Amino acid sequence: MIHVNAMGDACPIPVVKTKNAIAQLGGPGSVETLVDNEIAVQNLTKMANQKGYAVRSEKLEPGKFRVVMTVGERLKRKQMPEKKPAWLCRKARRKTRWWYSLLPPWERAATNWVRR
Amino acid sequence: MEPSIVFCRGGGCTAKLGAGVLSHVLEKLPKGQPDENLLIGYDSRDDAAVYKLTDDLAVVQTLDFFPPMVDDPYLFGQIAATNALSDIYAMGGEVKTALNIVCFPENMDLNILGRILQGGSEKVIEAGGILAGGHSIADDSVKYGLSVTGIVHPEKIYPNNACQLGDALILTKKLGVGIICTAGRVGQASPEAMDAAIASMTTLNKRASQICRDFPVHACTDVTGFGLIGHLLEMLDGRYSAQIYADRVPVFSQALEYADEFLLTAAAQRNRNHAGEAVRFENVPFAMEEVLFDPQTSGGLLIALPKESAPALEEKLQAAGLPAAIVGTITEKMQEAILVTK
Repeated sequence: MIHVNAMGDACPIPVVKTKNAIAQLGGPGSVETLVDNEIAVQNLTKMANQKGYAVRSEKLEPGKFRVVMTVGERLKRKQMPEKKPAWLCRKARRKTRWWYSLLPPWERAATNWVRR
Repeated sequence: MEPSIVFCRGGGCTAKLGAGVLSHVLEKLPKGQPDENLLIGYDSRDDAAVYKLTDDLAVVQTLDFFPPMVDDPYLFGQIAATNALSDIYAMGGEVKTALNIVCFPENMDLNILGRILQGGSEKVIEAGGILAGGHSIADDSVKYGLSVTGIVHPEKIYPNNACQLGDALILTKKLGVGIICTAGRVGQASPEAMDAAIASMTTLNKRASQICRDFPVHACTDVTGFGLIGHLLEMLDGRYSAQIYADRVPVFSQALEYADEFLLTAAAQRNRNHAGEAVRFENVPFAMEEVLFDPQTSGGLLIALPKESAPALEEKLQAAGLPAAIVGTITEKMQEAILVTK
């Protein structure tokens, strides 16, 4: 976790410092920012909501607040599963059969999406 | 080398106290004997106080001062003066005299103070007024503004809360200077954006106010520290609602970019908190929401007038070089006071 001390900083400095810390993370992780007023908490929370980061805040003592933002992994495109052996894939098994070459073209084409 | 102010910590109208805070305090003040000559006082949260002297003459009084929002002291003086003078124009008045209000650190270079006062006095002269004195105190940080006195005919005052159902709303300057100055403070505003914002903040509302005199204006206010939403809420005064068309509001495009980077002020969030449930947005991007709450320093006039006269006024203001536009209408009271649509 990266810790940002924005106590005594006027807006937008807490947001700027937090953005810089998030950039430093370079990927998933958390940034904790300390601020001294509720308005800064609200501005940080607004940013987190807009960016889709998880955020929670708490008052530690009068004039001291903590905001923790968690930057998640980017949503990856659905990846293909690892290649299964042909004998495991139901349709692919057809290709290994002796009668496969006797199938008409349209039946053979149906076998082409081999991996499940 | 040009003297410059070493820092500016969220100056201009971003330094205003929140509207809610003020209301709590003001409502507890003793009112004294009622005086029918006080045509406009602080009950209506108007831009200035207006006191009737004779049947033809009323005096308009206002005062504005704040910390710097730009680093150049001369420009700061100009902007602060423009902002203070704007309230006279928002009442439909004419500027007559002004007094300086100065807070300045004892150890700071006096040339800086000189440049601030020079900027202010040149703007007062441009407005047709006279700088007649002032008051200064030593303080930890720089603040500057003016107390301005003007005159107006008692029957030609533009109150801020006399809009009528069906009125069109016209805004005479672009929104977003608060966000641009904030971005400038953290070194993320382009020179073009800063120049455009400064040009807007140093443009007097004098010409706009003069043009309005030929039109049947019902209500007028200048858009400053409470943002367009905050000042529109004051204008509606609980009697009506309003619909704002976000796509028609004149905005600095760079302000939208910087809002998307979250270069926002505390004052804008206070404005948002104060408005609360009174505002509803429909399909309005986040950046545009922020610009509508953005505190403006030396902003334009928000004018309510019959919708038949609005296109002609919009055209005349644009012909005078102002980026004026019709931005909304006054509607029947709805659940929310302001509805903002695309």
